[in-house]
Amino acid sequence: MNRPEDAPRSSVPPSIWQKPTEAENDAIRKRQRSRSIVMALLLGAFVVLMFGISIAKIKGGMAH
Amino acid sequence: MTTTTATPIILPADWRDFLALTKPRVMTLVVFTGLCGMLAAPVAIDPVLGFTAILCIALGAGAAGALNQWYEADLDAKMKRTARRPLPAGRMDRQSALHFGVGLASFSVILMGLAANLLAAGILAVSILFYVLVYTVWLKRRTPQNIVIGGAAGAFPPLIGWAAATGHVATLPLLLFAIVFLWTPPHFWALALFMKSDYAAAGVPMLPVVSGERVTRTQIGLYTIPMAVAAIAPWALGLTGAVYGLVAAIATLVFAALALQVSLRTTGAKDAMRPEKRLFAWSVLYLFILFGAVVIDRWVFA
Repeated sequence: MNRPEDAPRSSVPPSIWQKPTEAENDAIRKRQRSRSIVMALLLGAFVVLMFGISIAKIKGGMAH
Repeated sequence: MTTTTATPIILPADWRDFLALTKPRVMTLVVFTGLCGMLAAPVAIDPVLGFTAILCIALGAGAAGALNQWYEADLDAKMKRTARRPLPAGRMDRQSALHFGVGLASFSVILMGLAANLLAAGILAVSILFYVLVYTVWLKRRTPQNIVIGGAAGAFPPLIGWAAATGHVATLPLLLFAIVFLWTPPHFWALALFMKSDYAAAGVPMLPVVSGERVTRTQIGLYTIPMAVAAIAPWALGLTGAVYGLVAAIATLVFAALALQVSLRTTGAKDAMRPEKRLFAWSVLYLFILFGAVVIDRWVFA
């Protein structure tokens, strides 16, 4: 592993990381934002699902 | 003085690439057969719990697909059909795919255990492990029998759907398992016949690559026989009514005719492989028709 670009990201000294350009920064932020939105929606759906499962289980328990 | 090359900026993977990792198109068949297994069960399941169970089957299949792509990134890069997937195309790093696959697999099994029952969760876990460890890691690169044994992985969903609804396994879901298991070889070998060059380039020992077209065509014909028996068995054993029996008989006859045409054919150098493509397309539709018929039959005769 002689070249810095071959090394895992964590082992490359920050001093030789390429500084992102403005356009690259924008692209990174845009992608992070879209991922965050999707994650938030999925977590919201999960909360609703867990609520539904709990109600269904309680109803099932009461029926017995 | 030493010169250093700066590392390129790596964009975080897009959420659509994570979705692509789950092989959504393959998932539709898995979800459908799982749903049919659940709806064919003699016990009605709470709609929320039923939805969750199907969601878990979908997530489990997606996780298996993601782990398959993580392990096979080098193979996918060599095949035209798969070269544009997120990993070979360089849109995602392998570690993200691995973490996503393991996380999703664990989540789907735990949620299935909480929402449905431990049996369904256990079968789901076995199906994911079977697809990843037995098919992807062990068999796929080693033997032309890869999809014969590996086909079991795709056959689990109707069993899981039934188990989620009833908490046990019976003869009918086992027959549904057998149908998918025996359907897989003719289905995949039809695909492998017209994608042979792709598999050969990647070094995957699919039957047409290792044993040639003649053997593959014969095997397609031979495997269609037990598949047809399994397809008719639910009606012959009295587990379904005449609706399923009639639909299964007609659909299986069409399948057998197409398989016979493929198995008797010899092709030239620049053959368009139309009968093979027709058999492949019908095989997908066939499974939808058969499983749909099981559910409709159950509703009619219940």
